[in-house]
Amino acid sequence: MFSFLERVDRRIIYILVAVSVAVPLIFNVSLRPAPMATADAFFTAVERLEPGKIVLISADFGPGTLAENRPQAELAIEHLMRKRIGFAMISVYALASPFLRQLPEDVAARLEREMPGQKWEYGKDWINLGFQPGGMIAIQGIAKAEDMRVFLKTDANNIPLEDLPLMKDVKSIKDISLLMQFTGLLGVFNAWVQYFQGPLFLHGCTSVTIPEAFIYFSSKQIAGFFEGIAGAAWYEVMLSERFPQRGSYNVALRVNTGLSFAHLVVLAFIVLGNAGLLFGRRKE
Amino acid sequence: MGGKASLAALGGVGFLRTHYRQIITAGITFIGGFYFFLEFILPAQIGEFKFGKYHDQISTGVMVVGAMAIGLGIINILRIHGSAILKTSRGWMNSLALLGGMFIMLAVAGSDLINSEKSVSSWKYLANLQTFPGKVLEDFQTKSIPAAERIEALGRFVGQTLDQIAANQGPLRRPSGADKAGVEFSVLNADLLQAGAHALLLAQEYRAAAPDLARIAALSRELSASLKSAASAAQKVATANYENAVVRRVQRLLENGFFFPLGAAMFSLLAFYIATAAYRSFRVRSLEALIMMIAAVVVMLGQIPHGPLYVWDKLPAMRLWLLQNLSTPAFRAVYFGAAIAGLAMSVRMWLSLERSPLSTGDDK
Amino acid sequence: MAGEGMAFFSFAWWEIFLGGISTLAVFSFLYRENPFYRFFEHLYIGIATGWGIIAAVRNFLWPRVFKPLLGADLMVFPDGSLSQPYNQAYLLFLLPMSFGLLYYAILSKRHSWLAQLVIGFELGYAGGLAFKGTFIELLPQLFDSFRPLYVPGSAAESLANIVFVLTLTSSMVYFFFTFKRTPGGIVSRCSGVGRWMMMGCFGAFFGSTIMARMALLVERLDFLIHQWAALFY
Repeated sequence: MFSFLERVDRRIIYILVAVSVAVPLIFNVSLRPAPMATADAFFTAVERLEPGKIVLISADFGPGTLAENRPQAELAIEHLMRKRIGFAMISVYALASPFLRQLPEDVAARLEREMPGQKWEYGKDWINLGFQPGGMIAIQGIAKAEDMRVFLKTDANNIPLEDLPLMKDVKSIKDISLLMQFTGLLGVFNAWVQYFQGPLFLHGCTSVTIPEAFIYFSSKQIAGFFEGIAGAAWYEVMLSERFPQRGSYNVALRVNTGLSFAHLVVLAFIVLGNAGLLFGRRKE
Repeated sequence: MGGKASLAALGGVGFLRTHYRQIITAGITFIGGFYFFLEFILPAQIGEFKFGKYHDQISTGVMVVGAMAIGLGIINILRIHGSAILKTSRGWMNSLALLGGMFIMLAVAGSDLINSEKSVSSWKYLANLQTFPGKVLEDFQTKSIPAAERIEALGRFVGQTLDQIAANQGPLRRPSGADKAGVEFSVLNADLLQAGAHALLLAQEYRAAAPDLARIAALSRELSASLKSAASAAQKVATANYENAVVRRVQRLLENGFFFPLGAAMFSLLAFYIATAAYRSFRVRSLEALIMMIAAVVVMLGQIPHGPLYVWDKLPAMRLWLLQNLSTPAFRAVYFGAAIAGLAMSVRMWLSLERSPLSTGDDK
Repeated sequence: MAGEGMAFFSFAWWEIFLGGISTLAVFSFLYRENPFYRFFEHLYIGIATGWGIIAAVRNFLWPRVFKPLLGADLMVFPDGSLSQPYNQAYLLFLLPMSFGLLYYAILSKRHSWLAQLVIGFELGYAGGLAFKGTFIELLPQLFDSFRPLYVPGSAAESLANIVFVLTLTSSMVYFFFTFKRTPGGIVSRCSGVGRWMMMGCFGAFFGSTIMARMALLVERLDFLIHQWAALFY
């Protein structure tokens, strides 16, 4: 009698999952996220930065993980831009190249609309070092370069690095205060941990690798990290509290809210399947 | 004795003849890792000798070796999908879509690269030109090289650039749309006109019967300053033109219209599959499965937002405790084993003790 | 929101419109396999391949290899003189380039063994780098694993550390196969505890995996609802 609980058609599951996600999105429901200690640590590390040295942001994600990594990178970039801390974008993943250009441009445009009269300029506030092939060999090359302007030569637009105002006083890894690395790829995060030693390390991971990231957070190899989109949502709340003029731009919050409803649906189906098993056994 | 030595030598030569490929491959594999191994174990400085002196060049060289493989992907794709199209075998339309997409992206992104290069060259040339008047003066004073023709050549170049701009051609043409770039365009024109005027005067001074070196030096400095200012304005104008070019917009269309959405959508299908898989396969039939289920529920519910969905406000703290004190040490135990095994495998690969997974099986 | 201030059939409009069509084409696979999905799937692979090739050329091969090698970074002044002399050291790039071209030997049945040379070189340098990477990554993890079992004044921290060390040691015992285990012995029981602890870890992974996959879907639906649908009203 209860065997049907274990044999619900897959298309019904698909529809229910899609509806559970779509409804809060349609009605623009944004719930305050659960607090995340790891995102707090990320926020504190960025707040403590002083102008002078630059931040290196490695966006090693592609279209497959942009749902979680893009909001993380956007929020981190926004925080740096609001504090007027210069940063350089880089990646060791070829498919990330468009994000290296688009993310800072989109954030700068949004901030300029929010604060008319203030400008963020390429070359002065940020630069794009582009995709560096070779993975770990590129990372260790940059870390050990005596003058990375000579090693890397140009930015992604073929402009010589010594012609960019942001790189005027940046020679080596010693002139980088912080590394932010956003990825969902296996092995890339480990390569940065292994070969880019020195600056403070902040990480943004997809939810799949949260347990893995915790082992590095525990050993203080990373000073803070985003736990997937939930971490980004909590960070967005902290950013809005720190900068009240920020307004209602809340992509991470929206996605996190929709995600929560989806979780409940999946859990309900797991319970349903086990209920079918339990009642089926009892009947036997 | 002599006979045995000869036999051994013959055997060695025979071994080399039949196994020379393995030996060469093993040798190159060892050399590939030897520098980085030494770089790790040796100090950075040994007396006067700095071990990592050529590290940049070696790293770049290794990256070049790997980058040379980019053509392999195209060749294989052309072989497989090209033959599918030529033979009009099943699914040839899909192969056409693949090759079409690839060549269109190559064409658009390649054109964008060329545009980018032209854009940078246009203002970079002006930036480098600012050193030219000083170089001409130095050559005139120290080597008595005639300077007037050289400065006139500079003047002709400035004139050609102005003509090109007036004809609305080249990377330094008037940008469409952006206000700031319009202002920079006016500055660029003014600076180039001023540079042209300075070049004319400077050439006349050089041609004078008794050139006034002080006046020549002052004019050279003014000419350099005009060129420097023109280069700064040219950078903004060239960048604005590059960003507004049709090729750049088409590239963004391909990225935002196809590349990102298709990739994201492919991966988002997994959401449906994992929901179905969780429903169909996650059955609590043992104590271990129950522990796994409890941990999964705590982790998932622990990050539910506040409000009507909140099951218990202590769940986020429970989740954090579970991740820090249960998940972390368990995963770390697995990680220790995997890391040591990975290192052992890397050493075996480096010393060619392991048969390469990519070997062709013809090793002799 | 999309649609505000966006001209119809402008580039921005087409970007969103085609993005929605692409997303729906992929989602059509949920109903069943269909040619619409296959067409867009192949289109994606082609575009990604083309993009990856140009990215490597644009960001590395052209500015750092070919441009200095060919002297394209040298400037010719209006009078025909060069801004700086050609640096002949760049000719050394020909060595790794020639070596890297051996990759293409894999296409020949007779000479495919030559590709093993360059593949072996790549494996070799990865092996050499692995020494440094492994120890730098591993040692802090090892040091962090030694925790005090008794922390004066903090029972909660003491308990957490006890659980931590117990979990770590029992999980490591689970993977220790050097000595024979007797059923019911200390090692077997410890290994059993380790298995339970690891199930807790895998449960965390499972929950996290569900979160990750769902987030991808939420982002796509967010795009369809707030950007694509907004084009039409």
